[in-house]
Order: sequence, then structure tokens, then C-alpha cells
Amino acid sequence: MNNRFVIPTLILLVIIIGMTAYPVAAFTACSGSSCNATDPSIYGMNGTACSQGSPVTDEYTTYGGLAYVELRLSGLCNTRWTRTTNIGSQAYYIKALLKGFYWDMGYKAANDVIWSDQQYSWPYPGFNWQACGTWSTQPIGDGVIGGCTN
Amino acid sequence: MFIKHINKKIILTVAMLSIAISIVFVSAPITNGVNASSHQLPASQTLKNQEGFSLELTYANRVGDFVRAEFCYKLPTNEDWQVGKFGRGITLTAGESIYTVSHGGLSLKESPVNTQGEKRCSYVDFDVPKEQKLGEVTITVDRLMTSLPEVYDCKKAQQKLEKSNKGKDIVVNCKIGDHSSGFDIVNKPMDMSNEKASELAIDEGFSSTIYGPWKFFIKIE
Repeated sequence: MNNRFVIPTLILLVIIIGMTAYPVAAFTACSGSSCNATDPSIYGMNGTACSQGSPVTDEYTTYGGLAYVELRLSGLCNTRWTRTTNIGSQAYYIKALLKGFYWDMGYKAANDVIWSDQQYSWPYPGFNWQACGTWSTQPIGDGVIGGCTN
Repeated sequence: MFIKHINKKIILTVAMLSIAISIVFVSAPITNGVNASSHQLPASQTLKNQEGFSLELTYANRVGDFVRAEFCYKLPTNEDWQVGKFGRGITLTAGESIYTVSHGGLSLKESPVNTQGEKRCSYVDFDVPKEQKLGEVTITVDRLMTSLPEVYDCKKAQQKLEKSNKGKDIVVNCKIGDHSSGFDIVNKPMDMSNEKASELAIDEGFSSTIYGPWKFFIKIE
């Protein structure tokens, strides 16, 4: 093989192997309403995901003893989303719904968490943000709400 | 004359100090959580766990079909601390009946921050039927812990587990997915169940925990 091809190929290989061995968290910038309908673990500000920027559990509820449902709030991005944890001892379908906005659902093992997309909080002063969630042995459809925070 | 004047001053100072000390102790008694007295039932109580961490029960009132209680504490780190774990580990005992928590959250909704040393107040709702007579009840909090991160960080969790007495032989592997994360137990002591290893991985690895118990004896009409 010609040296002209060997060296660039080797460099490319080293880069690819390096990227695979040390995956770099890929944060995407958002602010204000541009964070709407995005994943809070990926989108954020100043190189920090919204879910890592001083997040708090604003409110929580439990549903059927198997789903722990949290209304999460990012102090960094001023966004809210819902997170549901499977607090049972085996795998179930669990759902996280930010009421009026987004939801996500999946078949998750015990202690796994699932979360919805986020919504910027500012344009809704006095809005009653509600996190809803549920669990099931079957896939959970669009209309199913489950238990909600106050 | 001079001595008389001094004496008056001393007596007045001692009297004022006594009143001030009495007010402080009556309004917010600080006792050890394990040895808290069941004979005093003030509206607000502050108890300490064995390590001296203070938890205040500011009130516990009946509101329709539930009893709402509020707890306040100083954030021990710059993390999102909560009372209980997954809404569990907080109970209200009235006679033979034990009630658990169905809802909870932060008392102040404006700009909550996770700043070490800041006071945080959280409420919990116990599902207590209206017909249940209460009177003297016990509210027990078995722990405070930080909320889980969205994306589980196994490297950080493993470092914490290795430093922990209870979880040092547990090895975890993280599963990060689209809008989801979880973990598997890769290694654990032979005599430990998978459930117990998972519990310790959360308590000592993915979260931080301050163990109680704090037992509050209170009267609810």
C-alpha cells in the first residue's frame, strides 16, 4: 500500500478508536423557549445539560407503589420535565408525562428512570405544572395518565 | 448605692436571659431523635440524628383526606436533598395504623436552589382517612437523600461505593438510553441479594444518604 494512504488511514483509525473509547458528552446549547421539546440531559447552557444545572424535584407522587413520579426543575435553564422511576423489583413499562406537553414511555428494569422532554417555565406564570406517571405490564398509550402531582 | 445599682442591673440581665432561654427551648426543643420525649408535644420540634444532623418538623395538620407535615433542614451539600427515599421511609403511626406518603414537594416554589447551608423546607402528605381519629401520633423519617441524577454516572458512583462501608464490594454498570438510564449489578458479595445490592448502589453510590431515624411525637386534632 502506498504511504500516502497508510498514514492518513492510521490517523483516522486512531481518531475513531479514541472517540469510541472516550465518548464525549455532546451537549447542545439552548436557552429560554428554544429548550422546549428537547431532552434535558442533552440540551443545556454554558456546556452543562439542564438536568445537571442545579436540578430539584419540585414535587413528587407515587403511583401503585411501583412508579415514583417527579416534577423536575432546572435552576440553570428554568425548565421543567417529568421523571418516572421504576421502584418495583422487576421490569415494567413506565411512563413519564409532563401534563399538557410531552411524554416518554419504555420497558424498564427495577430502579431505571425515564424522563420526558422539557419545557421552559417562564411564559406560564402561575401555571399548575403537573408531573404524571404510571406503570404497566403492557405498553402504555397516549391517553393514559396515571398518578399526578398536586 | 453603686452596689445596689449593679445588683439591679445583674438581676434584670439574669431575668431577661432566663425569659429568652425559656422562649427558645419551649418553641423549638432540640433533642436527640432516638430519645425524643413523648410527653412534650409542641407544634414545632427539632431533632438530631446520631451524627447531629438536625431535622425540624414545623407542623403537621389534617387537610381533608390527608395529613400534611412540613420538615425543614439546612442543605448539607450543593445537591438536591429530599426527605425520605422515593416517597418511602416516612411514616405516620396512629395507634395500630401506619400511614405512608402519597405526595410531597418543596414548600417554597420560587427559585429553589441547591446551596449548601441554605434552609430547605419540604412537605409530605400522608393518606389518612377522615374517619381516623388521630390525637397523639408518631412521625418517623428514616433518612434524607439526594435525588438521583437523570443520567446515572457509574464512574462517580463506583468511587463513592469503594469508599463506603456498606457498598464497597458492589460493582455497577450503567445503561444510558434515549431519555432513560439505569444500572446493572455486575458484582456483589455472595451472601447479598441483588435487591439489597441495588438498594445500596443507590443509597451509597448514585445518591448520598443521611440516615436517621428522626421520631417526632406530636398531637394532631
